[in-house]
Amino acid sequence: MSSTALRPVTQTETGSSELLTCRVGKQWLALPVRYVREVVTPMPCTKMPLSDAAVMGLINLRGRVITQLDVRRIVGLPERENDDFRIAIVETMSGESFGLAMDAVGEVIKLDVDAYEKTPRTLDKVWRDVSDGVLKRDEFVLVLINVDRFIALTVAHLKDKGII
Amino acid sequence: MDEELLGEFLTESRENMDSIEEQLMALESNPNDEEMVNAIFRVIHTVKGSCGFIGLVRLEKVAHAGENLLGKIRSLKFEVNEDIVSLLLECADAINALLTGIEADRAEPELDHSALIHRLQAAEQLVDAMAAGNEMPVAQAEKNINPAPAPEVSEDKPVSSQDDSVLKTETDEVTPEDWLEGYDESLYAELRGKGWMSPEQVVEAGFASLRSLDGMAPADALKILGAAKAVISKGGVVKKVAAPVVEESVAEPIKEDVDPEPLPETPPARIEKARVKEKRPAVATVKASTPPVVQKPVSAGSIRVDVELLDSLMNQVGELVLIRNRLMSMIVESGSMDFMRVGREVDHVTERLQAQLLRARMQPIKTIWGTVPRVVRDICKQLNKKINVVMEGEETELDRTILNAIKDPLTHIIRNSCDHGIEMPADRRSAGKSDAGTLRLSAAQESGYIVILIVDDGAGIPADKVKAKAVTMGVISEAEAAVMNEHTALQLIFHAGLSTAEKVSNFSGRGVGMDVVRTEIEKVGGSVDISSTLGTGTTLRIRIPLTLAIISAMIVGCRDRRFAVPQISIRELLSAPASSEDWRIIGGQPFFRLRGRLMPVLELAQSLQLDQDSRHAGSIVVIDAGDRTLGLLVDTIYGAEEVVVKPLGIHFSQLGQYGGCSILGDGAVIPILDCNGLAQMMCVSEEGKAAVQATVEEEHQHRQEMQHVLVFSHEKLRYAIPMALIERLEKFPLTRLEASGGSEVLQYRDGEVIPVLRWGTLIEHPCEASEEVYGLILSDGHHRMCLQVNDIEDILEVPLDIKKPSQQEFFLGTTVIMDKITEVVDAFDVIKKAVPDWFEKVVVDANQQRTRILFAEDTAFFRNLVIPVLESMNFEVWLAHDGEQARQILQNDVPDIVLTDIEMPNMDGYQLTAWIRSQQHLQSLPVVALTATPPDENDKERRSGFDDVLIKFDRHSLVDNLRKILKAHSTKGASSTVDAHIIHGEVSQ
Repeated sequence: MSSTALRPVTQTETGSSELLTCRVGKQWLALPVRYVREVVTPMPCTKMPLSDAAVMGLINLRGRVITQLDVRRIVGLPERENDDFRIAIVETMSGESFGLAMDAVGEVIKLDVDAYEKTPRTLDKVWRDVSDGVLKRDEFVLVLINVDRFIALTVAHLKDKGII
Repeated sequence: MDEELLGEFLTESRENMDSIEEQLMALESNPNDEEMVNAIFRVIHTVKGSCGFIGLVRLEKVAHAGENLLGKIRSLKFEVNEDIVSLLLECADAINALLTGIEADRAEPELDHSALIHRLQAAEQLVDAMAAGNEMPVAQAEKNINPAPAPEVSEDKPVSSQDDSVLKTETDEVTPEDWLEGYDESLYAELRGKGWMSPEQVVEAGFASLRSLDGMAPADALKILGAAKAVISKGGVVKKVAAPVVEESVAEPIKEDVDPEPLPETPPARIEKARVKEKRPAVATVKASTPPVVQKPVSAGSIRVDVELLDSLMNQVGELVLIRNRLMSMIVESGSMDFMRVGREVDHVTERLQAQLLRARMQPIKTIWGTVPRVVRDICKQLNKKINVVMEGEETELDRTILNAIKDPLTHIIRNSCDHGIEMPADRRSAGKSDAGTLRLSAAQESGYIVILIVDDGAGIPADKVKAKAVTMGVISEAEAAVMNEHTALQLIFHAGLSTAEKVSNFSGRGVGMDVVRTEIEKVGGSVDISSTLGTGTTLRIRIPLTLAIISAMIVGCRDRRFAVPQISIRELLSAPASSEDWRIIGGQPFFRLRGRLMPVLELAQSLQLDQDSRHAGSIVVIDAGDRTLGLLVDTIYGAEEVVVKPLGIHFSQLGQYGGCSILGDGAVIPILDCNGLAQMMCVSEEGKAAVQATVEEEHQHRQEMQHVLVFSHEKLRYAIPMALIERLEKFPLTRLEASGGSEVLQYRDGEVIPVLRWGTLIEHPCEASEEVYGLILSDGHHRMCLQVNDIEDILEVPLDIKKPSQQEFFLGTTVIMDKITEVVDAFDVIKKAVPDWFEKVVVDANQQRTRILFAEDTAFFRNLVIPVLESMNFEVWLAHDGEQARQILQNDVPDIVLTDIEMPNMDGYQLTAWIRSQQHLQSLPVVALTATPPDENDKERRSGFDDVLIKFDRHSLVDNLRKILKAHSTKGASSTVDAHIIHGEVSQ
């Protein structure tokens, strides 16, 4: 894992220390708010044959076509059984927007530097690959998601070429 | 440097310079046009004046030298020649190059124009010298005594005295205060002192003069000038912008010591360098034919809009359209009449907005054609050719993105046409053409596409030369070249690295080949095709969509999904229910028969892995994918819709099947299929490829099975006989038939007596023959016979598909020709009857071993045609009904030669040959294919396994070639057991 992943996400580095918490399966994650454009409820999604496994399809967000990714599929959880989920619309550094389907969306929290720890080795590998560390909460651990890496993980041809 | 000033200067200079090229060329064709000289002079003068003000030293020098030359031309009424125009064009190019550099870097680029300036000065001297040599009006000759000084103001006046008088009378009452506000009294006094009362006079004075006034800040000078122009453009006092341009006294004195040598030949390198410039489309271009007496003010009619803004507007409108669609459906649901009314208005406005914005992105093709005359002219000059450019449909409009994309390819094609296409005048004369070649550009709209033709009347492209080159370059093999047709060969020009130019010139043939042209055009969804007739010329045809942003697409359904197929790829739509008889499954690959031809079908559901269920029912979208046509099987066709193309995200960048996506009226996202990408999927399996190949073969055979037959009638029954055996059709009186030894004969040409058989007698239905009868002369070159028939119905090209084979003598079977039952005559039975020894000419030595031939043929008709021929050659014929049978025979016995059909059930000719080649004991066995299909590039590779490929029905070539092959093989020795003696005997026969 690269050294950047081990450093805490600080105010200076992110420009904002706010995080949006989301839940996938039993795992809680935190997305830096600066990446998140909005959170929407499920909408009609056009499946795209032959696409990468994590791709749920394309959605029409007010005239913009956005690729919707299923976080459950990214981390290897079983398929969702109902349509009760939320989509966090995130925009990566490259300027492309994606919809991340989460089981639930929690709240916006302030980054508590004291609660920060580097990613524990005990965490699932898939989480370790995309996290910039964890935040210890009373009842659970919040995985800090590196959105760019998280998205890149879903693109098969990038993985194949060893870009990640 | 003041950014704003510079920007203004650039904009203005660009606008002015845009028209100068055209004007110079107009001047060249009409050197006496004084007004044109004036116009050109004004442009250069303005540039010079303004750049002096901004401090652009290099630009000023170049412009100045040009201005001086033009001034001289103007004042001496010198008739410009080509060289002078070339030089002035160079000067304009240099100015443009500098402007481009300034635009990019906000500073003058490091370009050295001293040589050009030197030549401009030399030209000026030359003009003087030449003018002095001519008979000149006294007044002008006087001036020439002292050639150096630039023309004075007073000397310029007469040139446009009319304008001046207008100015004078109307502007005398005007004072600067009348139109200029907010400046010190001292400034007005200065202006008055200079006599610049009216805005026209100020404009006329120019930047430089204005700036030189005492206490005039450079910025103020520009503002005053701007104000003056604004007043004029609003209708001011006088409509005409001052025509005469005043030469400042600050002009550098002309160097006296300039070498007055004649104008040097334009070095090619110069031309090259100058062409670096990028010409921007003119917002307000002035037609070359009408001298721009009126300088169109910037503010009139059009404004410049950032392209990015336009693109972003387009996206916004795209979204608006979609929102409108959703709003409309909500309104309909609400059922409120008030809402409906408002909704309809929103609908109309949106539609208009969309249409007009699309229009705003369109530009006439002349914006990129504008440079063509210049390009052609330069080439002509360099190569000493004469080429006229003809343009048609210059107003045809295209989306600007597409225009930009095809600009370079178009220029490349044009250069090629001029350089390689159109011949030198001498060559043209000897070819009986006019000295001057013609390059014709035309553009026209054709159902959503623009078709651009570039036609030259040059020498044309020799297809064989292209082929030869392609072979040298290793693009195709010699075998491939041999069977390639001309049109296909010409398209090789678009292959990378293939340039037919024998010599590299400045203009083309430098390796940036036509492949780049094709790639560029295909990038914007277009296609390009070349055709050429030797000696007559070459035509390039470019077909491109009008716009990329919105395309017309067919919405199709497959399983429960919807997809959009771009209309540009669609040829036609077919209904293909499961019950259709046109379905064929060959090697697991579905095909659909369309107008007699088999077309491979790609099942969308399977290619996109929607499911594995092969249904072979639904609708077929016939698509053009590259050079192939294939059918795309879908479940439903919903209809055509205009869709806004949106790009797909990073997850789909490797999926060639998609060309983008769009949003439909109901808000759903729909993928747009890329037909080329889909077609590539089709080729993955070798098995599939083979099947396609086989189909092509079958297709060809099918086409070839169309054969000419002669249909005659006898007693209301119709009979058909293949024309292949008929040498002549004779009409003669019945009395010419003579009896000879119990049979009838006919005296044929050269006193030859040939046996005659009456058809009626043969089929035991004799009837009363009329006075005049027909004789079908059947011949193989050595023997002749005449078949007498009563009435000839027709000679037709039909597929001879025998429905009911016959065991009866003289008949092959029954077929249907023109919806009528027709009996097909077995010509060999007839021949045998007439000349029993027809096929037994060679007396066989009992001791001699006969040449053994294995003949594999599945069709009875062909077997019957060929076997007698083989027997006549004294072959021992082993017959196989298909490839598999042939293989079994070959496992036990080895013949001397194998003659096989290509299309056969169980095992076809290719497979059989491949098998033979794989067998140790059959290594040297000659295998000859007999096919109805002439060689074609589609199957050359597969046919390479055969020793030879012969064409059915061609008896002579069959005999000759079989002999040749056998001879070749027997001399090779090896295991061939063929007896050379027999062959020799046959040849000498």
